[in-house]
Amino acid sequence: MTDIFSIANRVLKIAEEEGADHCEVYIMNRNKTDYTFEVKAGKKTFNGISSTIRGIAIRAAKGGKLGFGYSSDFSEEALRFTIRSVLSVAEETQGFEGFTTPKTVSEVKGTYDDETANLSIEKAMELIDLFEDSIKGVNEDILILESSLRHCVISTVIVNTAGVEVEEKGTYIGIGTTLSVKGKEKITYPFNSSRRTMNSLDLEKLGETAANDVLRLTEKKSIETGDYEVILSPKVLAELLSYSFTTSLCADQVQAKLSVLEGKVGEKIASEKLTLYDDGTYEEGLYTTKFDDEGTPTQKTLLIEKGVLKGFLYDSITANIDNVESTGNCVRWEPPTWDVFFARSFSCRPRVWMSNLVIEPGSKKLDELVGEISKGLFLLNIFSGFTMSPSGDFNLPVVHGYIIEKGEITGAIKEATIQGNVFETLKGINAVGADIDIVIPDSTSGSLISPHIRLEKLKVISAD
Amino acid sequence: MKDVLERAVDKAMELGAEYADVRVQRTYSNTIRIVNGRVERTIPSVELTASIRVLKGTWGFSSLTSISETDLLEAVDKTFKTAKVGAERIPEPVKIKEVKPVEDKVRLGDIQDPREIPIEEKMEIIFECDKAARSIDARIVRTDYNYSDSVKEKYFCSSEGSYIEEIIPFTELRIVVVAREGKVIQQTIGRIAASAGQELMAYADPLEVSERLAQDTVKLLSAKSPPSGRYPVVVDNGITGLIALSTGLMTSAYFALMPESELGSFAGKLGQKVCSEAITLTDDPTSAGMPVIFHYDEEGIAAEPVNMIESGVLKTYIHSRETAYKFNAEPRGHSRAPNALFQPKPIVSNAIIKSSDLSFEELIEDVKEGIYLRGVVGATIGRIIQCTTMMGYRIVNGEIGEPLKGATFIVDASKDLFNVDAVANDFDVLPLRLIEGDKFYPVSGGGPHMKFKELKIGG
Repeated sequence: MTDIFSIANRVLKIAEEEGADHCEVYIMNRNKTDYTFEVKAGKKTFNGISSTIRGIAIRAAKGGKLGFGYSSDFSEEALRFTIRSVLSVAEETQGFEGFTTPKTVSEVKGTYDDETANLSIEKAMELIDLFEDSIKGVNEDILILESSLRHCVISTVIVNTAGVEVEEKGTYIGIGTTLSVKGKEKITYPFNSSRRTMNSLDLEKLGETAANDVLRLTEKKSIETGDYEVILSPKVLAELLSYSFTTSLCADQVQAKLSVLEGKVGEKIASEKLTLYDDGTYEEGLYTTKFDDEGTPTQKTLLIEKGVLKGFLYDSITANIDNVESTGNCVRWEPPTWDVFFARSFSCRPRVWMSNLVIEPGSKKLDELVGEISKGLFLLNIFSGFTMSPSGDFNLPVVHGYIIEKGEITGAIKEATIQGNVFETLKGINAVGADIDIVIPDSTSGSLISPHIRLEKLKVISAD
Repeated sequence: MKDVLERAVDKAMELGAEYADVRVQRTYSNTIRIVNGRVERTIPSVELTASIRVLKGTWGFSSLTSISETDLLEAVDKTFKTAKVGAERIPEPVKIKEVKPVEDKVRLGDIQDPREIPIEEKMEIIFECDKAARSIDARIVRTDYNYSDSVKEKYFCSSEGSYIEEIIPFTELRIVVVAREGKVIQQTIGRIAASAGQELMAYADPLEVSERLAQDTVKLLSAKSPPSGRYPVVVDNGITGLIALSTGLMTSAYFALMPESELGSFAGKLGQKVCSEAITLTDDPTSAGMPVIFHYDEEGIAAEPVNMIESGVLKTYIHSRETAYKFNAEPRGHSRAPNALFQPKPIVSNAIIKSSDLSFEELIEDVKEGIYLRGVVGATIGRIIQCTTMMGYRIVNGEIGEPLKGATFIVDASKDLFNVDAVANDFDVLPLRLIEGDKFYPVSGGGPHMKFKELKIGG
């Protein structure tokens, strides 16, 4: 790390030489390895990819104007070129009063593990075998079309002219598979799970879950268009919340008058069953970090308490405008950047965004949520909600889901689309499960840590 | 550069590799976004990407953002080991088609290098366009200009003795205009892009494009909604281009080896009819003025145009060296990657449907009651193409009738591509971005106006 700090401090020095009044340097190093076995035209193939990506992002200000730029070339020449370019494009920025000052970083747990960081290819192969065996153990007719294991180490350093000098290192590991069933080859079921450390990724249980899911998905039945009582999996909920809802919670959107939640703090905006936090310190959370992307300590921020809107997310610039404290939600992400573990990058300009959204679990077991439905649906997976408009209107195809009749799963949904408005949908939550899963939405940064939830009714359009 | 790259591939061969290559790409880029006449962002960047590919029974692949000898040699060790361990667990070793080694240096052509033009000058052009667009009508409530330029320096070195350097410029402007009257909101999108320097911003006339978009957007406010159902449909050059792109991707041998995948429907169809006889489809990464141009692909093979579909018959796939070996075909320079961090695979660059000698008037003269669709807003592609268009017109008794708001239409590649009646004699090309997971390829599609006997239009 010492050489990274010396590069960062070197950049501050060059910035000073070029006439900058303030400068912030963010360096990210991402070391990722991915092993995939895939059946192509009937034959098993292998692909092993590793990547070491590092980059340096620079924000610099001169005469009150702020600019941003980046480089993955660490040569003196490239860094000086970048700083000159940054200063030449600097703009008046409302709310910018200098970079974050030093504060004690947050304490976080379960975010780094040496064994996960240094996983050998031999050990990775053992883990894939273990996962595949647990799938085959459920039923011999299950076909494994693809299985993959990936792991990653990300280290971050932030240094600025206000005295901040922080560093952090985190690990990530994930497993994925695509399954089908003999005689039902048209149905394919992709399944993924990611965690921070090897020991928290329960491969045997995940294999069994994926296998049981695909077996239940083979009995496809048509459904009728109508309003249904519906259970949403954490993954479906992540897609629904991932864009328009999350956007509305960000102070920059509120200040630009683009959020439908503007002026609604203290008002009831969702079912009283819903309590929602953004928590950048959540133990083992995929977006848990000691500090945000400008060096402010992360925290747990109450957003919705029993259905009542409590506040918004801030970085330092938006906090200055509203004269409040930053909530530690400065995030270097912008669409379409995506990553299977941690969708943030030195190449993205800092903005306000979620870290881990956490829905407080309720008391009902999943069996009870299902058992209490006389006629309804259980959605496992839908298309990405990333295309949703800021109004929250959605019209998203169901990828996989079950049909529930008299409290039991009796088949799988053939083809359907769900329709509604996410802000209305959240008012109709009638039960919250007791279970917890950590999932990431398909096209945005951030994770959702949530139980299954149940909606009173949701409009479902049959495609038959 | 050459020495260090050669030492890396030599090291792989010393370890026992069958083949190795190294790619490096350094990209200088500027992006500018101006919304409603205000600078939203300007981001300068320098991106250095590199990767090593080693064949030992199967591929090992490592990418990095450093070209120091220590980092490259360390990556070679890891990559070789990955390939070796992986190969023990698969039934059939990977082989690649033999090719002749090449040494070449392709320099920047006669262009205005965007690195030498001050950012203020670039912004000035956009401000002017923005002002022109907004002054067309008071109902224009939002303009959004996304400009970017880049210069890519690419290096390729293989264990077979190939060493290639190529410099490629790219300049792009995307324009979104939104108009509003009461509750009616309409939006149009314009795209200008080419493998060119700053001179593009003169000859592509962004000012004229901006004014036309603004006029179209305002017109759409009072247009009627399109009908739903199945109609004879004529599509403009850009929509033809989108269909060419989607069909072109299906001619990639990479997807043809995965019959179950979304783009795998041309698997096993060589020599068979895959669409209407009116369609001849070419992929051409070499023609001047096209949005995507390169002399050498990501495997160091000289690029050349390929006719994948001739009069509706699938004649050949486009190949990488690996798929060319499997199909006993020749790789002809169509392996692509977003940058040096990603593995090369056969992907179309400019997918073009050939024009005929029929005029637009002749194309629509026998349409009694149909729809003419113009402009691509966005689309998902695959077996089913779902596209949102910017605007439309009714066609009544062979004449263009009243304007319509944007429509969505659906093309089921397995059926609707056989329903293409005829194509016209005009030509234009639409620059597009192909997004696949975390990968993003600049691509384009082009061709003439095209007529479908029938297509499903949704509200």
